Amino acid sequence: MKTPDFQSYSVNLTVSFDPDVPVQDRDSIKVSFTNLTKNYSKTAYTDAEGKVSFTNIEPGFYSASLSASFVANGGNDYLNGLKKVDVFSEVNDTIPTTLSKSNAVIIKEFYYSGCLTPAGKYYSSDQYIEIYNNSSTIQYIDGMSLVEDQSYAIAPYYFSYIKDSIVVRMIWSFPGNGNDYPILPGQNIVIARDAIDHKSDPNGNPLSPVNLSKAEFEFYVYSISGGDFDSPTAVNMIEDLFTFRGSDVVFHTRGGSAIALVKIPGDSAQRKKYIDNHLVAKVGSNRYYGVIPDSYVIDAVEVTWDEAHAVYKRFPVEIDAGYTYVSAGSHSGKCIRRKVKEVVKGRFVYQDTNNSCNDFLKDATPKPWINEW
Amino acid sequence: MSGRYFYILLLTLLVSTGFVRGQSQDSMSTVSLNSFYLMPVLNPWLITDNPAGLSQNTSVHPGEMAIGFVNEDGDFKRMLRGQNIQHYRFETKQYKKINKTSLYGFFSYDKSFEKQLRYSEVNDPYRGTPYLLIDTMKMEGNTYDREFLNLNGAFSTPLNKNISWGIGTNFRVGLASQNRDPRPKNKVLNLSVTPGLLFSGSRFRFGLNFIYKYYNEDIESIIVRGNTQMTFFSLHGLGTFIYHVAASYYRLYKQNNLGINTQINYHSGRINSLLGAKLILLKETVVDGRGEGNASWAHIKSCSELRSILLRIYHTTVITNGIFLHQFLIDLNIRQLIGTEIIQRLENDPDHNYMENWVTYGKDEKYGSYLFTSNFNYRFIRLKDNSKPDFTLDGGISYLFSEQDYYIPNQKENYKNLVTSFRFNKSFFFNKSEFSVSAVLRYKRNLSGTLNLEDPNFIVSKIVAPDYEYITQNYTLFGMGMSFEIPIKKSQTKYFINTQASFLRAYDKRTRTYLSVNTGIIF
Repeated sequence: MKTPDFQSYSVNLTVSFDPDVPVQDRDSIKVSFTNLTKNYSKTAYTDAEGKVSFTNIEPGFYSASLSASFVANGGNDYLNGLKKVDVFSEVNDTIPTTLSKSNAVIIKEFYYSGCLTPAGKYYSSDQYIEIYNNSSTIQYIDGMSLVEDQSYAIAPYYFSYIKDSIVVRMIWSFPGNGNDYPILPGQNIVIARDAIDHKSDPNGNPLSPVNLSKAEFEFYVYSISGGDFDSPTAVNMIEDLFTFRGSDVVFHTRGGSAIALVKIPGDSAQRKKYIDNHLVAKVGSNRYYGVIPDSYVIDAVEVTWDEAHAVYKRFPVEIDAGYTYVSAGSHSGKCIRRKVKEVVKGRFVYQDTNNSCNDFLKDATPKPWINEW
Repeated sequence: MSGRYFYILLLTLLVSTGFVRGQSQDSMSTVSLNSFYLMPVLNPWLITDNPAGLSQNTSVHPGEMAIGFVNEDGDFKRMLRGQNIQHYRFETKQYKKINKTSLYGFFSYDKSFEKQLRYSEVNDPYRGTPYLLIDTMKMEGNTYDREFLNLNGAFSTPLNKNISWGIGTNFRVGLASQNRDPRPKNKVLNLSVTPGLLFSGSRFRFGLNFIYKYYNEDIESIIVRGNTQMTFFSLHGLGTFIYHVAASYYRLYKQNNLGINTQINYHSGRINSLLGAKLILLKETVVDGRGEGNASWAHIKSCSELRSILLRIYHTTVITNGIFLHQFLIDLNIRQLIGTEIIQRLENDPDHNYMENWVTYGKDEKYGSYLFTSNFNYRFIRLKDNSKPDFTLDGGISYLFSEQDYYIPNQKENYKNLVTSFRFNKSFFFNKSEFSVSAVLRYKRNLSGTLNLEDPNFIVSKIVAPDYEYITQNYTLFGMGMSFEIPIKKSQTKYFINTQASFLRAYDKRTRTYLSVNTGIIF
């Protein structure tokens, strides 16, 4: 019997460490080598020099990623690295890494998948984003913005030529002048698409998993026809940019909405001026997208459709070294939720390694305002 | 009027037409259903695919026109097959001789419903390719609805006293579709052309024929429900796969076969012996996203290529002793497949005006398959007259060895099976009527097998491992059949009804039953 004439190669990678990474922490860091087409991974560990090798690798397109944490200056620092590697011969390459500290305000839960009604129809008005004060001090969210990347990551990134920035289709900002909206340590804030009790409201869906009638903030899209519900209790977010303006804010129920919490410097007028002065469009299109520097990003979650579409990852490794998604799929009633790292004196501290692959649970049941293991 | 009643009416009309045609025949010999069984014994050239061998037919030229129903049901099945399969069929066939030209014609129309199946989006997932397209959507009552036409014809005519030539063609075309999202619609075309020569000497005859076959399956899988994308899995063999999430999917299989077949035949008064060897080379390409305007996720993507070599060596000897015939049959087949994956990535391609296009980075042979089958049969026949038997007894043993390998991740499967079978048929004659009973017993035993998988993913657990369980499962099959033939007045045509039923029980207690009923005329 003739054996197929198949190819296999060795891949030798070296992790490029920041000088601040202690030498003793450079050994035994787990590196995942993922075939992006076939969706399987191999793992290996670095030696003291940061070298790692993979053998018997079939030709194809891969990503090498690593995530590690270590104690420095009395706090936790996180090391993330990501490198796309094409294997069609022996490979010797370097994995660039970034150092980051955990953020004070984080995106804790993102429910975008929606659910089904008893009649089997789609329902997504119960989508929401939950942010959380992960620190031990009071934080203020005045003037912060929630943004959504312009791409759903189903094709190569159009704006890849714009460096050190993300390009967004939506910018919705929290009102306030600096001290109006505090978040206490361990407090959750929910930003609902529609702040109603979706389980019992006549316009809701009894099969919805959430009651959002006590949501603190709401995405409200004003129109003369009044197409969007305006909750009397929730504070409306400020619409700064809405490229594909419709009757309401809708996140893709299949996934693909990469979101970030950002802080554009200045007050609301300066923020709007900044946005207006930093717009880009695709060739032949009159739709404009906002450009936000990476340095303005407080926290970000790269949500893809699924594992296969991670090949079209948009956020740079400095913002989110990984990605996540609801694997149960569209209208599953499931969400992504950050993992609990520890509980300090009754305050939940969530994991924030700046790598969504590690930090998030994939098919969690939506539980706004609830902290639990 | 529902579709099923329409087809029954259509088939009834066709049979009525055939009935009239049958009445007008003026044949001097009466034939029976068993005459078709007798044909390759009387003329061993019919086990070859050399159409020139038709010239060696005896004076027996049976014809048949029938409608039939076949039902197959049970949980002993491969994973990509349905729990229940029903066929409604019309077919007509006949051997004929006009002057010195021998002819054979066959036509069939088959409407079938394969129910409660999962995964498969290809018409026949077990035709030999590892490159399948599946989805994992589950819906009760999922049905593959198929409609196929088959037209087969061959003739042989002498060029001179020692040489005959002939051409055989086969044309099979059909449509298959499923009734739930995603909804594959498969357009299938099979075409073959076989020219052949036969050289006759006093005791020896030599045959040579060439074979060209073309297979085309065009799959258009759409999702009717709006704004919905589903996952399509492109399998590469032994559970390895890539997948795409898309609102529609297109796949095109194109297969070309080229082959040569040679035969040598010795015949004397009592012995008729034939030895043949056939070699076929095959190449199949698989292309995805055929229609640029409709393929939302990609333009044309080359998925894979499959190359195969098939060698068949066969031999039959028929010994005639008065009204007794003894036939020995040996059939050896060796088939090797090599599968090549084409590694592509969707990019803004400068060669295509920076539009998104699949750019090829390389090809890699990843899949290998080896299949060896051998069949040894003995057949005993006692003739009623020169056109039909009154008793037949068959005994056979088949050995099969299969090995499949996928390299990196390393997936391996192999097994050896042995199948023994016995069949008898006894006919009783009442004036010109004929009543036949038959029984068949088959026993399959797995001799050995291993399934060694480095990547035990969910496709392996849902499809590959259960299929391996099926293939290595021992079973016993018992079947019975009856047929009744009544002559129609003032003609040589006979009306018949034939029914066969068999029951298969595997050693893990899964079962499958087969029932067929067909009725029509023989002429």
